[in-house]
Amino acid sequence: MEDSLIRWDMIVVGSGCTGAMAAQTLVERGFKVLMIDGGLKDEIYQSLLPDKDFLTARQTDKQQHRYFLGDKFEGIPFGHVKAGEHLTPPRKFMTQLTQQKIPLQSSTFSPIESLAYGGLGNGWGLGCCVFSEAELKACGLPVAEMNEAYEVVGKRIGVSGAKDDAANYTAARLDSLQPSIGLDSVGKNLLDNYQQKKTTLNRKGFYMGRPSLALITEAVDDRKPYPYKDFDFYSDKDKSAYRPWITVDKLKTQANFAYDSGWVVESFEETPDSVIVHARKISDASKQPFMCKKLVLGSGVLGTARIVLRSANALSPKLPLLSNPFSYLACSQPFLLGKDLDPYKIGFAQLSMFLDEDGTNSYVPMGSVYSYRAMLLFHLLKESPLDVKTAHLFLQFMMPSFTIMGLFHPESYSAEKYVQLEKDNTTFSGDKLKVNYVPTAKEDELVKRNEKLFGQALRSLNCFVLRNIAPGHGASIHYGGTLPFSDTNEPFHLLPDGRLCGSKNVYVADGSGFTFLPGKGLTLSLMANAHLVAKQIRLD
Amino acid sequence: MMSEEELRQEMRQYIRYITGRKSTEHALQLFVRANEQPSFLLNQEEENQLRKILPHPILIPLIDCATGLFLPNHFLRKRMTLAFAIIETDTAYVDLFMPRPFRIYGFAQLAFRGTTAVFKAIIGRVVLWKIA
Repeated sequence: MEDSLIRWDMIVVGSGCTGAMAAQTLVERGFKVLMIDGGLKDEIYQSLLPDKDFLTARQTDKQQHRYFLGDKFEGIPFGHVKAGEHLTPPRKFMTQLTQQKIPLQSSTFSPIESLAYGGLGNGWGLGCCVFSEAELKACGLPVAEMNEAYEVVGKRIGVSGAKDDAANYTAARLDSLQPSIGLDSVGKNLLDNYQQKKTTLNRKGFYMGRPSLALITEAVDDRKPYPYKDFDFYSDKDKSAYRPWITVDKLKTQANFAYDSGWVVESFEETPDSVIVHARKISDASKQPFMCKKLVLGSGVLGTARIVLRSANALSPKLPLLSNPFSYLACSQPFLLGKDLDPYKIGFAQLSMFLDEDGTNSYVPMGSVYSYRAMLLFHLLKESPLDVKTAHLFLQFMMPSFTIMGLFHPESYSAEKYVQLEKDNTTFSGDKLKVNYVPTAKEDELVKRNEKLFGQALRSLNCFVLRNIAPGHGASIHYGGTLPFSDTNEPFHLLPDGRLCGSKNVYVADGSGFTFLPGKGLTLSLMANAHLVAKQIRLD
Repeated sequence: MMSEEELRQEMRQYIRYITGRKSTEHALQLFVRANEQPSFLLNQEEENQLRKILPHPILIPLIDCATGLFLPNHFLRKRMTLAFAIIETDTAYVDLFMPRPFRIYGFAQLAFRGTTAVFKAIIGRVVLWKIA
């Protein structure tokens, strides 16, 4: 029978981190679940990626230009680089067709959205953090229930890490924690320096340690322990890194789960006992309704905002928006200049650094420390103010010492950060999402102050900031807050159980309800919340 | 539109300049193919400028320094970055993109190059102004 003719118990929209987690909980609870998704996949590069480590592939693979540069040379970004343009060619499918099918207009905000199988989870940096009690409360999330949900999700996805100085801020307290991945020279040198300066840094509120990552170091089912191939942002062949499609692939083997791809969900309407979901086919724009008892939206904060505004036929309301400010500190550790590249070089974060100035674990910016190799030198050449010949020489010396810190800042509401739906008959859906994102002067100041403090802390560890790169608002790929949690049943809000205010059967499982975005990695909390929402849904 | 032979000649000059080695057929073909992509197509004015430069390989270092230091969005900087990316992913040159061991000589070389680059950039800027 066609999916559209069945009245499903639950329809989950989206196969990203939150959709996948919500669907798994619902399937485990025995409901008949349909997942509707864009479902786009990489059909070009996956088969090309060699089953070798990075250095061997670099030296022997004649086809490497295809996955490093792309068949259309799309891996070489020029001009002002927006969020998502740094994706490697094998990951470009993540953002494929988004501008055509889910258009967004903004001069102040450049987010990434996805219609891919596994959504933005395909590019997730895997950082896992458990929010503190203060942060959970500020987000509008229930403390005890979230702490249970973290354990459930941690076990499902597999998290590695260490119980060290940063354990209060990472996910190291999870029962199922696996041992941390190996440290490369960049991480080791920095951590050794931290151990010597620890007392002074702790006094200032800085804590450094191994990050908790959704990356397994011990085999789980058909997922292999991390093999140190350093093709982390090119291939997921070994499934060591958690990607949401791993969950959905597994769910597809269950009798009470169905997956239907190639759709953009546009809106929903509620009847007394059902929800009708209106979707449009990506390939030919044809429309089709799907019917269910309960609808769970996990289509990403911006996607969910579109669906909710369209369903309410509400073009004028402004929904508030949160997005963690994000910047890179490109640094060098002179001690490592000219050293050989070691075999432990990996693409994921080596260390995490947190700044908890008042010791309350409530406003904590986070720096993730990376080394640099697998993106190749030409990406850096573009950013260098030197001629090609000198830059080439300079980058060769610098490569082993390059230390990149990705800095995430906590985010609260302010008046000039909002989204709106606007009619536009030229687009696929007849409208477009307009985003205005202008932080207040005070917010900008706070970000600059954090950058300065992190720069000083790194300097004290003999790691020197060469350049501060601001990729623009939206580049953190952390969005939230459009439908804030509330107890008062106001329109365009969510009730504490994730139900959309004013609706009977529509739930939101993504970060739309979060009323604050901590600087710590968000994804584990998004998944824990999705599990929690799915756990609380009752069929009347 | 630039002919295939012109593009091959251009890439040969970049390879010689960046690596000091002979070009591989693989790298030349990739450069030609990249130039078929809309994002690398040149307009008439850019083609004219390039045609003035190609017969004089001696100008490449000057133009490289000028675009690197003063004109990061110049079309010639973009072409050299493309050439660099293609060379970097060619197994014949991969050793040139691995880390360099620490040697005082290497740093002296880098410092010397940096200093001369400033003078070259000034001359290169004049060259670009002349051919524009």
